[in-house]
Amino acid sequence: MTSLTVSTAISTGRVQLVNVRQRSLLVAKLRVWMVVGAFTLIGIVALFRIAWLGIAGEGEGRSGIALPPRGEIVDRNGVPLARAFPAYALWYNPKALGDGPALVRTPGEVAAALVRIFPDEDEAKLKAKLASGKPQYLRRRIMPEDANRIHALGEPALEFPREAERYYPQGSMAAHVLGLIGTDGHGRLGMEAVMDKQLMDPAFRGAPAVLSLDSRVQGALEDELLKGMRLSNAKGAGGIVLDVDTGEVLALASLPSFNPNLIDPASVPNIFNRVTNQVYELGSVMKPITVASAIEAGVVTDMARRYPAGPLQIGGFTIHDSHNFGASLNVPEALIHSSNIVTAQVADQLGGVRLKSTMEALGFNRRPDIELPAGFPIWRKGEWPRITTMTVSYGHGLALTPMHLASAYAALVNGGVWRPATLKKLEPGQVPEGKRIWQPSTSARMRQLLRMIVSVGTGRKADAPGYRIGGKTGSAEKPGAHGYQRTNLITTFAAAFPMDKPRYVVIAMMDEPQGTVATSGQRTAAWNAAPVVGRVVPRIGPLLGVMPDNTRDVDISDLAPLIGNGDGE
Amino acid sequence: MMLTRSRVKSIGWAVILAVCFALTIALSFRVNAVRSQVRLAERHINGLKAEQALLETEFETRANQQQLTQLNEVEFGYQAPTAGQYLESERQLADLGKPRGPDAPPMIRVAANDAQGSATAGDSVLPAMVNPLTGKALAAETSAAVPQGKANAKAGPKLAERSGAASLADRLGHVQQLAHVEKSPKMIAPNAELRDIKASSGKGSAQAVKVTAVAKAPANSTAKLAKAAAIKATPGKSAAKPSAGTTASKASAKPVVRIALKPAAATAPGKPHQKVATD
Repeated sequence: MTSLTVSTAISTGRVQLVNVRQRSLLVAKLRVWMVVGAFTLIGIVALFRIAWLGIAGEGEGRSGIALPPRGEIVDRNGVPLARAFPAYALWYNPKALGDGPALVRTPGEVAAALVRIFPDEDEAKLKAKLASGKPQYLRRRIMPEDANRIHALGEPALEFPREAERYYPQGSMAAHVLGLIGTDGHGRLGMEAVMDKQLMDPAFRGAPAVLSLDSRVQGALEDELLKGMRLSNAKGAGGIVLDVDTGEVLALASLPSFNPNLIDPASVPNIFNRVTNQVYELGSVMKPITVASAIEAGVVTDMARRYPAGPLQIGGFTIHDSHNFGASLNVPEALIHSSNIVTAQVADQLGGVRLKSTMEALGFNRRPDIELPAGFPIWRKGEWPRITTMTVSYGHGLALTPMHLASAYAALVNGGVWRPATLKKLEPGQVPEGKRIWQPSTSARMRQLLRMIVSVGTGRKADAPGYRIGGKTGSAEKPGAHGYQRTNLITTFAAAFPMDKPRYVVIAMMDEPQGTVATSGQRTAAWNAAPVVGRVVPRIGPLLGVMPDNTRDVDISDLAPLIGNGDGE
Repeated sequence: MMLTRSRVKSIGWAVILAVCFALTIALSFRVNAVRSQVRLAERHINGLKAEQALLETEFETRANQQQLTQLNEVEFGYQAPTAGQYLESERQLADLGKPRGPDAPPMIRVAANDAQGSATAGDSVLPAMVNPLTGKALAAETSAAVPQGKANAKAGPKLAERSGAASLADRLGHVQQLAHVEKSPKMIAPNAELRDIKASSGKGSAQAVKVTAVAKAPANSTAKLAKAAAIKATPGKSAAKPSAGTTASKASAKPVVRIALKPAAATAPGKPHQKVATD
């Protein structure tokens, strides 16, 4: 190398050597400056950044409470009905131990140990899952103590990540309204499905979705329905509490219920909602609607007018009453004793066209107005023959959901304005205007008549002192393969309280109640559905601001002299 | 090098500028530090909120409607209020404090056991029983009613003399709870029992009178009182031991009944029952 340099110097001369030296010095200097410049630039940028941060702060906006993965559902008073809950899941991670065997022990042993912790698990299935070597859930929603016991098994492959699960603190209460969500996190049933978009939308899910339900009312209704159902050995029961002035549903119960926190095969058939999904021939509860239509149309003007009460022959079909109420009845008596014959005559005078148009206005020819998926009524289209008009007038030949009935009764007592039912809480300005079906005078007359049915008629068992309940019983035979079944009934009690200024409609329905000791061997609505209303109203009335008062009632003094004594269905 | 005026000025400006800049930087750093503290605090608050929500959920679960209903059925038995439990206005409230009208039935003095009959055999030493329905003394139905005050005056000293146990101080210190109980059919039950006692004493048998105290299980004080009274009574007379057997029974007994019976079961044996036993 030295020889090479020397030889170059010799060959090019001294001047060139100096030149080379100077140039390399210049290059070195330049490089140093470049490095210094770069560092200075970086320093300045850093300083600017620091200054910027110091002045402007961090770019990311402040967040309040972290958004839940899915919006909460609360009742009208803010009681949480569905919310996110960090629960443990049991996750199988075969790669936890690296590339070796996934489990310390054999899959069979681990599966047996897991079954000791969760007795309802299938050991063979667990063993297959563990042996498959695929990462997967073994179980969801495990309790912390179970997680500890699994931890004690000493299997690193069994992990329990904490996941936000949907949780329903009230258990099976209002399960049919709330519904449930699938494993994909989307609603499958009830309001979870209806409001799925809103609950998942980051813009809305921060605030809870408010339902119109009142959990205290819902609890009382379910409790009393369950009692009534047990007392009468009924197959099922349903109930609604509806605000007559707004159409808000305060409680909606279908029994037997299910627990949305834990869906097992036994509870799957109970997911069916009797109140909105199933249509029933509701029977005599339709009579007040017929009578109201007749009063509205001017067909019934004189409450004292008497109608013959003997069996009615119409085109080879005979209309009977549950028993003989004498030769004749007037309209108040017909309602009090629940006479099919007189109601049919009233409907006959009213005519099918007018009855049909009223019922169409009440929405009996379409699915009920409620957010939940609902059943379609069995509704006769076209012109009604005379016999259809007559049977429909007392609730046969027309199948409705109890939800239809609740809305219709709300219109019947609130002054005649029909409003769609809703499960969402309405602010005072949001209440729909509704459409007028009956005049206030008709509604006032119906309040008197309904109150009389409870004070002296078939609904006496529903009369809670001080609450001024009015309502109508209905016991309809269920249609079977060979006509109506005499022993399988749908019994309904449609009521409203307080009758001097109706606030709430209460519907109680029993599916196939039996005659038991508790119901004095009877299976009609007066013995099973009416007492439920009589027990529910005192429980919910004070909560809803309806205080019992023995000094008030709707004035029935003009109708009271018109009625005799007797018992009806 | 001479420092000219303008030069000093410019250096001064530069220094001021530098100081201001340094202060600004320091201030902004400080602000940022506080901001990050706030952020940390917010994160902490979020954590606490989540924990609160968790606890709230747990509380809601443990106190859900069904649990509360069951608890009420088993433990409390609260029922829906009735119309009588509501007062709508001040007027109704004032109505409750209305003085008794001239035709109102007299209050019944049930807890005064000092109203004994005369000390003679066959006469009752128990308080004159008042029929709650008619408002008259039961004795009045058979014989002329002895004014209670007189009876007291007669029987009091005699009893004290006989028993020797009841000194004046005892008697004065013995304060009776005068329960003014409104007329109610519930009073019939204690009366019937008192009548039993009366019957056995009327026979003059020296048998121990069994006082049936209608005492609810939780009303330990009543039972204790009765026992204490029985113990107190034993040294008074040697002829017979009045055993105040307290049989707890009748869970349906109302508090009103208990007040009414208290003197009969508990304090009465102190004095009059010795009388019963000896006669």
